[in-house]
Amino acid sequence: MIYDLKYIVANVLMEGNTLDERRYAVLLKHAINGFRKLNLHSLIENTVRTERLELNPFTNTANLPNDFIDWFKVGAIYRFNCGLDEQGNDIWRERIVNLDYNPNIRGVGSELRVCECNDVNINQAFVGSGEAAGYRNNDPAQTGWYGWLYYAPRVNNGQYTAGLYGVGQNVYRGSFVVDLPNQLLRFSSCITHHVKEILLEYRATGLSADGNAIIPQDSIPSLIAYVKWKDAEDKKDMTWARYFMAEFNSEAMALNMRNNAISEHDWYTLMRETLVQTPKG
Amino acid sequence: MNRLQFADLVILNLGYNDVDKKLDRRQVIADMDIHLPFILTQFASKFGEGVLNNFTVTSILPVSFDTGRGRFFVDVPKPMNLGGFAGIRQIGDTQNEDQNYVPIQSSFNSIMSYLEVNGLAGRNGFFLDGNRAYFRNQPVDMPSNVRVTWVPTIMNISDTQEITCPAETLSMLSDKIVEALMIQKQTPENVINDNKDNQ
Repeated sequence: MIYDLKYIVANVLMEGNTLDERRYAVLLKHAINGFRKLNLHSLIENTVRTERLELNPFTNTANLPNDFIDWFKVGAIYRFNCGLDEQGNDIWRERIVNLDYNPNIRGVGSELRVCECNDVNINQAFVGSGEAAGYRNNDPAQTGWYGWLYYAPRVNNGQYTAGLYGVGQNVYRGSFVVDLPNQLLRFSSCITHHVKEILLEYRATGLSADGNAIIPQDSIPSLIAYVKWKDAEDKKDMTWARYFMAEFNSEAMALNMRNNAISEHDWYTLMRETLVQTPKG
Repeated sequence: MNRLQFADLVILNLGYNDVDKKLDRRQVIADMDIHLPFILTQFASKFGEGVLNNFTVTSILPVSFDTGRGRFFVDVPKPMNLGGFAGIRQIGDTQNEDQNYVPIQSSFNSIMSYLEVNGLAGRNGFFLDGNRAYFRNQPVDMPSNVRVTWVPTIMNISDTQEITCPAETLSMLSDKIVEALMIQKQTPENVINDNKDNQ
């Protein structure tokens, strides 16, 4: 059995002794709204998605997915060559660099000029005496992209390296802003010099293109109550509407408590982290 | 009880036992189609729509393509035209009763296009335009025939077909038709064409 929104609608139709499906579309709409309500209250937590977005090099933008609500991480995908395999083909690997949120970026649409980044100068200013201090131990010996990576304080090969004063926590010049009205992610000017794709980890609506969603089993009672509540409102039956509204509130509260309950594993972890056994003197 | 038996019952209830003055069965049958939908709808709202499923006919009908509208459709028989298109009970795959198409109101098409529900959660749907059912979110391979279950009119069933409406509805129907035809019985026959009302 797949637990999805069709399952919820079928439940309500069956319990209402409804023998045809003329209210299917309306009830499905209610189920979608109920799912959204639980999702936005973090009572359904399975709607985090990760998606690759193509970067438009002319506008420094990427189109947000249709089911985007809010972002968790935005990363630049950088491909680098790791040499040749046994057949002589190039081996390509990818590295993801998280970018900073920068609300000061303002898009200017197609008039935006993509600058030719001069990473080398900044890199030289930072690295100073040589390359070794600038890279991680396992960095490939490539040039070009990593110049703008290391401007935050870090420990490199056991040695503390201070970041540039006044620079953000992450990647200097590799930052973004969410332009929700235009459904775009806008990036600062230098990013297209290196990056063709963006990796976006985001909070999604959880709804597929056809309006369905897989739901966790423990959210089913809440969703059924929600759909019955709205169905009763449609029928102007306010007595039942109030009854099912109360049931929805109760079920949603129970769902919240189940989500927040500490499992046996959590208890063990908590005890192991906080309790120290000492020999008696 | 079939429609002939019902018509004879009503005629006898009205007291027409004289062969010369016998009421025509066709008038009773026509009256049945006028009063039965109202009675059935009242019953459905009181006892649930299951009463509509008592009196249905299932047909296997061919699917055609409307080039003008770019949609597949099926011409459904003339059902009892109940409110909310309840006369069409089901349209689905011919050999799979689990697979029914979702009925939607034709006016929903535009409204739904702005909502997630537009995809019907992956199901197939249909909407009625007169006696024509157009498919929406149609299957990738549209079947050549579909199963249509519908509530027939009394006029469209055969003389021998049982009227399987709940017995209570037939009782009410009989009372209603007798009441309606009683005026005709009580009014003296006027065979003179003089533009005067029957007195």
